[in-house]
Amino acid sequence: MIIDPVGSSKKKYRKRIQDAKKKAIGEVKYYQLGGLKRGQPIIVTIPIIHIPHIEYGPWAPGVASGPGEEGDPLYPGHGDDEDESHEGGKGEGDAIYEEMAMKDLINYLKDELELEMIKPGKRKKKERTIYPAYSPRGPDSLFDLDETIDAMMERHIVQTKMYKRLENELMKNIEDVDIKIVSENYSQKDLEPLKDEKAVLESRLSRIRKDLTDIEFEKGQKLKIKIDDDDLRYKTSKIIWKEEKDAILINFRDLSGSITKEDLEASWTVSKLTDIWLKDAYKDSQVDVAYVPHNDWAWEETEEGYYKLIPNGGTSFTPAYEIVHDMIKGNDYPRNTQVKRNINPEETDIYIVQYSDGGNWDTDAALDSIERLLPHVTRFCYLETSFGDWKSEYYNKLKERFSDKINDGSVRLYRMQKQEQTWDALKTFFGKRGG
Amino acid sequence: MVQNPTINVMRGILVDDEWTKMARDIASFCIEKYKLELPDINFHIIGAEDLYSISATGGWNVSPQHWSLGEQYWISKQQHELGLGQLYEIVVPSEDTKKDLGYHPVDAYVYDASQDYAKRLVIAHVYGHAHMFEVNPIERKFRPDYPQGYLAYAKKRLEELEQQVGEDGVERIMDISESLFTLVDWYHMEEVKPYEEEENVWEKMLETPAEKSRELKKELTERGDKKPLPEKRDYDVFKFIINNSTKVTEWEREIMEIMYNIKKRSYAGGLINIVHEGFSALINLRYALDANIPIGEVFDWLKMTYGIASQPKEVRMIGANPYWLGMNLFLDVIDRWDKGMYGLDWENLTDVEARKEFDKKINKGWEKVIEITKVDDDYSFIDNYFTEDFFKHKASHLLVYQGDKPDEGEKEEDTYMIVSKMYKDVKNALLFNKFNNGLPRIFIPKNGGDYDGLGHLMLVQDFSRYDKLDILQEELTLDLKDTYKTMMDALYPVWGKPVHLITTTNEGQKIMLSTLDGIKVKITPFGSK
Repeated sequence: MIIDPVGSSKKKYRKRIQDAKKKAIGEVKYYQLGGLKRGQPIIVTIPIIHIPHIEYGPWAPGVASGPGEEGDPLYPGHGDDEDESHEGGKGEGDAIYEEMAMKDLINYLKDELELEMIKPGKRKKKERTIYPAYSPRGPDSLFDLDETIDAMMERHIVQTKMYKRLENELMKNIEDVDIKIVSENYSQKDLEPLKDEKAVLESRLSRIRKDLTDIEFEKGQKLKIKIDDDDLRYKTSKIIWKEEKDAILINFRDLSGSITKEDLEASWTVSKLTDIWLKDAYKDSQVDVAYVPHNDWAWEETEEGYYKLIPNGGTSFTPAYEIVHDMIKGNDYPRNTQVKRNINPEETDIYIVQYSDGGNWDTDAALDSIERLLPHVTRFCYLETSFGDWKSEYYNKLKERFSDKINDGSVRLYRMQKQEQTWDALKTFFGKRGG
Repeated sequence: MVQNPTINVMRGILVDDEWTKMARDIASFCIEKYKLELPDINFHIIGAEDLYSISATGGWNVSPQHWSLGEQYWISKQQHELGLGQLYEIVVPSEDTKKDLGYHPVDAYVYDASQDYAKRLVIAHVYGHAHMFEVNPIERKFRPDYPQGYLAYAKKRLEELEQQVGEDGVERIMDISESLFTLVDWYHMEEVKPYEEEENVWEKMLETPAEKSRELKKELTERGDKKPLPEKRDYDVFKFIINNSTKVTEWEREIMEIMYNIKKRSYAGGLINIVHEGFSALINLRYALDANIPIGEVFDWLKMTYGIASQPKEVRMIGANPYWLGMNLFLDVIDRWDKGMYGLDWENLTDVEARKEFDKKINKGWEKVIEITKVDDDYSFIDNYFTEDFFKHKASHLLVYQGDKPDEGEKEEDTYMIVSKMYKDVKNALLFNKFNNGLPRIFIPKNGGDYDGLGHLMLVQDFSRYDKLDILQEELTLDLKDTYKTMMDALYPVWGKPVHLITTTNEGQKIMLSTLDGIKVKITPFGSK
């Protein structure tokens, strides 16, 4: 029998690959395996640690097989597809860890960017219902036949025993009375009450015997048991609560004509990374993502539609913020999705990430709207992409108006000047403050 | 030899009666028909996941936990899932040794394949391996008495050390041992006489007695009372470092010793690979044809194993496939010894037609095969039986290639050129890849452990004996990049003092590589060409 001889070395291998650069010996190389998967040729690249040995160089003779004449190169045609059949290529490629990639990314976010670990808010939330006990009363839906039959059998056994004991006692009493009648010389007058007593006892005995024949088991006969009202058993339910909130990530996307393709790409990257980071933090709960594009007006969009929309029209932020208000209040709002969201801030942590170039014409109304929104929102992140020269006023106004909220970390702003600053943006939104 | 080997097939911890009966039937069939000498065998039928694990450790149920096992596990898993290399069985000496009875039982782990006939054929294959374990001299020599007990001890001890000195420290020494384990003397146990420096007879005669005595005196005064370290040429460099390094601490020495013992056993398999796999493949094939297995299933099996036991003619493949080469050499031997195609009668026969028709009908083929399993290792097997006839008829698609230093951005494979398709060269290249496991022979010369009297370590690459294989010194040039790294990252840290290695460039110039500080390697010309 085998008891996992590899054990912890799987973990050690992963760690060794991660920390390869810090180690004194060995370097990462890539081992390529070519194969077929669902009829398609694929190359699986496996990272390995190459430990140096004292070995012969390429001049040493080796044995191979195949066509060709003396003086031909062994692998004719550089980069030919036919080369796939040989293993152990030395070209570099991306490591394919099908089961590991997401974990590595999260570790990168955690270790390299030093993002702050999010602590989900606490709320009593129903986890599951259990049925720990039984009761003689309850609704029909919780009726439990097994337990009922158990109870009936138990009652039957106890009842039979009780009747038998009563029968024995009565028989003994009657015997006593008989002995009295026979042994002592009572006058006829004195005998009357004794005879009456005996008659009473006998009538009781006959009644008990009749009852007993109804229920007592005899060999070769069927069981004579019925379910009594007292036997009925019902499950009693108990709800187990856990204390954790769900989360929702609301993405705002500016659809105005001033938005470029670069802006869109940046917003897409940050949105995906935020999603991954939140899903890791809220492991045991749900993380929902809502997409709200807006130009002059706003609506909720599906994920596929959200990134396909073509920028067009003017810009107003207020309608977008109002949609969140509607979601919290439970009002209807414009949407392309099937289900109307009803967010309960007490049950759900709300994260808002807004992507914009900052061009907006109803600044004051928008700021008021945010101010009304902030008490319900866990974190409000504003990403301004300004790859050109133009700088918006909105960023400065936000900074001015919510300076106290920025200090306590619930509002976070970032102005992105280059596309490479994606990681910095993420660090500002979810990193440790003051670091 | 065991008269009646005890064979059990286990599934988990229970004996599978049906399969046990079948395995015993196959065993008696093989013993009777193929004259196999089988020890006691415990088969374990296991699933794919377990097989990846057990193959990663080389067949041992316990093993020290090093990352390389995880790497090997991952590669096996991917290979199996992509269908590149199907694992079927792994056979190792068992813990339950019966040394005083003169035989060692073996454990065999067999993949729980979906088809029953596949399992039957794998069982026959295992008997081939078991026979080799039982009779082959190399296997007997390197077989440990209590392998699993030692590995369990090693695992426990390394875990204790990990707790005491930290995982990183232990891993570092294990990695260094991984790097140095190739510097092992495989031939030491045969107790061959240490190979002395070639003496030039003429020089000796020209030397006057006065000169000689002067030299002797000089040597004696230099030596003083101190014994040279080592006293004679030592090929076991890794062992020498473990025993004599002043740098390593006790726990480091302990880890290196454990790794030395484990690695030496596991890589001894390289010396006997072709005979082992070839013989097992042969038993497998013969059983498939001899036993009453429906021909359709045999055909299915052959199709399935074709990828494993083949040497393609149309596609290029680097390296000789041990299954294919071993099996075909054995088939050739059977053919020749059945017909009596050996000895003077045969050698002196020059007429082509007569050679074709030659048949003495002596039927000694199988006897010869069993004899080979009892005496040969890979080197002598190829040396004796890889004949020109065999090459012409069966192995003419084998060729010899050589590479060159790759240019910037070029892979080493792209420099490989076909240099020869001649019988002699192919045979020499095959032998070269089997001599010392295809690794350079490095030794410490006399007093090389105290070179210059300052405790430097001197290593020398041995070029002797290769002339027999028609291989020039410049072809034996080391891979310099890896050699530098080994010297700086592995040898220097454990020796603690400068390390020198005398080798050659690919122009034939002798050079000395020295690392004085473990940070860089200096090259100086050494002697004359």
